[in-house]
Amino acid sequence: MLEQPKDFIGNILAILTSKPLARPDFKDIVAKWKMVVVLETDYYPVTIRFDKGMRVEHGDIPHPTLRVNAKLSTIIELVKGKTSPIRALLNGGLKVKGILRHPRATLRFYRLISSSLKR
Amino acid sequence: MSLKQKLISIVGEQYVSDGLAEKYVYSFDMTENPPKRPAMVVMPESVQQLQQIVRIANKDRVPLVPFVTGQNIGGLTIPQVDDAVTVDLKRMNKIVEVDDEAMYAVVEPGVTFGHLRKYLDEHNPSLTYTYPLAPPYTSVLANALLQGLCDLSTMRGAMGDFINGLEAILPTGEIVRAGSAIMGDGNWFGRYPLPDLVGLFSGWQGMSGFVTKIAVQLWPKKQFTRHAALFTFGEVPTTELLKRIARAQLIDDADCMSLSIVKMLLGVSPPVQVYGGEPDYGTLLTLSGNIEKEADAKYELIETFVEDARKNESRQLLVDWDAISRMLGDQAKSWVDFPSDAFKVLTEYDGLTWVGTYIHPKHWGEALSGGRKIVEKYGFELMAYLKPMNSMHFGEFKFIIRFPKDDATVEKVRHCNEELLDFALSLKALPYKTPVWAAKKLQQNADPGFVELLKRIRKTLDPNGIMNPGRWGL
Ligand SMILES: Cc1cc2nc3c(=O)[nH]c(=O)nc-3n(C[C@H](O)[C@H](O)[C@H](O)COP(=O)(O)OP(=O)(O)OC[C@H]3O[C@@H](n4cnc5c(N)ncnc54)[C@H](O)[C@@H]3O)c2cc1C
Repeated sequence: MLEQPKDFIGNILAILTSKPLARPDFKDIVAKWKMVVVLETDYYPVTIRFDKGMRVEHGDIPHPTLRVNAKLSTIIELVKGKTSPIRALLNGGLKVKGILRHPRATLRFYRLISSSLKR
Repeated sequence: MSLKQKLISIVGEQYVSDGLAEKYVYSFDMTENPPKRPAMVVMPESVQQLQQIVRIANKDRVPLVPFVTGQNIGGLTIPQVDDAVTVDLKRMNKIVEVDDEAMYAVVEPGVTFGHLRKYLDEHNPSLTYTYPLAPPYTSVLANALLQGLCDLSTMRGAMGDFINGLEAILPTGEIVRAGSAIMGDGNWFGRYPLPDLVGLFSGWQGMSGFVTKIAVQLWPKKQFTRHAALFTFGEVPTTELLKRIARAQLIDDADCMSLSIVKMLLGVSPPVQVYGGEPDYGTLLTLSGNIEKEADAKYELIETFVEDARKNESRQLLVDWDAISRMLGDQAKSWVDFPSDAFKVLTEYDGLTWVGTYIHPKHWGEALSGGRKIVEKYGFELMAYLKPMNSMHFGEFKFIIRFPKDDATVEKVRHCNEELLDFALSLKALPYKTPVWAAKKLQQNADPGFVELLKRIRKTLDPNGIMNPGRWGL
C-alpha cells in the first residue's frame, strides 16, 4: 500500500503504519481517504498524502489538511507507550492545526496513528 | 615433472587447476584494485601437504598467494607478479581445540566466523568470539592476522590483540610456533613473557609465511546484553560523545554509521540520498552486565552523557531497543546480529571498497568531516563507518563505496579513494587491509627506518621472495 519512503522519518512511519495497513479491511478504508498531513518534527517535516493509499515524502507543503507538530523524542515516547496521543495533545507535546476545520480528517489520522502504536 | 604434476602428486588432481575459469575467479575481488590471474590454484587439506607445497615453491622460486575467501576488501589476494600460485586454504578447516578454562580457540585458516559461532553455541555456550560486519563465511584466522575490527573492538581493540599464538610454515618450509604453545599443545594461553614473534606474521598480509593454526581469545558471554541506538548530528559532536562513552568503558561495542547505511538496512533503494534535517549518524550501542542492574546502570550513565550533549545540540537522541525494534521492525534484528548480514546492503553492486584507517582520537572528528566532503564531492553515497577502539585509545573510520564496476566509475572510485587516503595520511592515520597503492603512499609518509626493517625481516624469513610478493609495496 505504501511506497517505500526515501527518508528516515518516512521509513519509521512506514514501518509503524505497516501493521494496521496490512489488515485488508483497514487498508480498504484508508484507500478511500483523500487528505494531506504534514508532520513537523524537530528534525525535519514530512508530508503524508492519502490518496488511493498512503505516501510519505520528505518536506513541507503549504495548506495541508492537518499540520501535526511533535519532537522526535515525543514520537518515541508514543511508540514506547510512555504517553498516548491524547495525553501528548493535552500537555503540548503534540500539536495539531486543522482539528476544528477538518474533524473527520483528524479522527482518521488519529485512528491510523493509535492503531499503529498498539502493541 | 611440471609444477602442476608436482602439486597434483601432493593434493590430488581434483585440487589443482590451471583452468581459465579458476584463474579468472581468483584474479579479482570486489575492489577497484586491478585484477591479475594466477598461473594455478591449489587447495591443500593438511599442514603436511601445505609444507610440501612451500618447499617445492621455495626450491623452484614459485610465488605463492595465501587465500581463504578473498573478502578482505583490499585486493590482498590478487597476485602482484606473473606465474603466481594461489593457495586456497579453505579445506584446512579444523577447529583444533577450544579451551573453556583459559578461554581460547585454536583454528585452522579455513574456519569461518559462521563455523566458530556454531561450534561455540553447541559446545561452549558460555563463551563467545568477536564478530565483524564481514560475511559469516570469511576466515577467523585471516581476519585476526589482518588486525581487523569486530563487535568487541570498542572495548578490547583490534583483532590482532586477540591472538594468543600461532603455528606457521616459514617460506623456507620449517614449521614454527609463537606464543605459549611453544611448550606444547593444550597450552595456547598467551604471548607473554616472550619475544613477541606473533608480530612476524600479524599484519604481514601473507608475506612472511603460511599461518596454519591460530589461537584466539574467547570471552565469557555476559548474562544481560542491552542495545540502544544513538542518533547524532555533526562529525565533531558525534565523535566527542562517542569518545566520552567509550572512555567510561560502558559499552562492549559502538557501531557508528552514516544514516544512509541505516536507511539501506531499512531497505531504501539505491542511490540512498541524504535529506536535510536527517541525523548524520546512527550508532548501535551494545552494553552488557552480569546482572541486569549492571547493564541498566551503564545505560543510565550513557543517558546522562547524551543529556549533556543535548545542551549543545538538542536533537542528539538516545533510543532504547524496545522503541527501536518497533520503529525499525524486523531490520532492528539484523542491525545487532553478528556475524552480521549487513554485507547484503554493502554488496548491492559488484564493486565494494573503502579507505579505512586507525587514527589518533584527536583527529577523529576532523578526519570524518574532511572525508565526508571528499565523498560528497565525488557524488558517492555517504557511507561512513566508525568505531571507538580499545576503550578509546584510538579511533577507526572508513568511507565505504559500493559501486558498479564499469570503467568510468572504477576510475572515479580510484581518485576518490586516493584523495581520502591522502587526507587521512595528512592526519597521521594508518590505513588497514592496506592495498598496494595505499601501502606505497604510506611508505612515502612513514619513518624510513620502519620500511627498511620490514625489508630486512622479509629477506631473512623469505630469502627467495616467494610469499605474496609485491604486497605492502615491497
Ligand atoms: C561486506 C564486508 C564487510 C566487512 N567488514 C569487516 C569488519 O567489520 N571488520 C573487519 O575486520 N573486516 C571486515 N571485512 C573484511 C574481511 O571480512 C576480513 O578481512 C576477512 O575476515 C578476511 O578473511 P578472508 O577469508 O576473506 O581472507 P583473505 O582475503 O582470503 O585473506 C586475507 C589476507 O590474509 C592472507 N592470508 C590468508 N590466509 C593466510 C594464512 N593462513 N597465513 C598467512 N596469510 C594468510 C592473504 O594472503 C591476504 O593477504 C569485511 C568484508 C566484507 C566483504
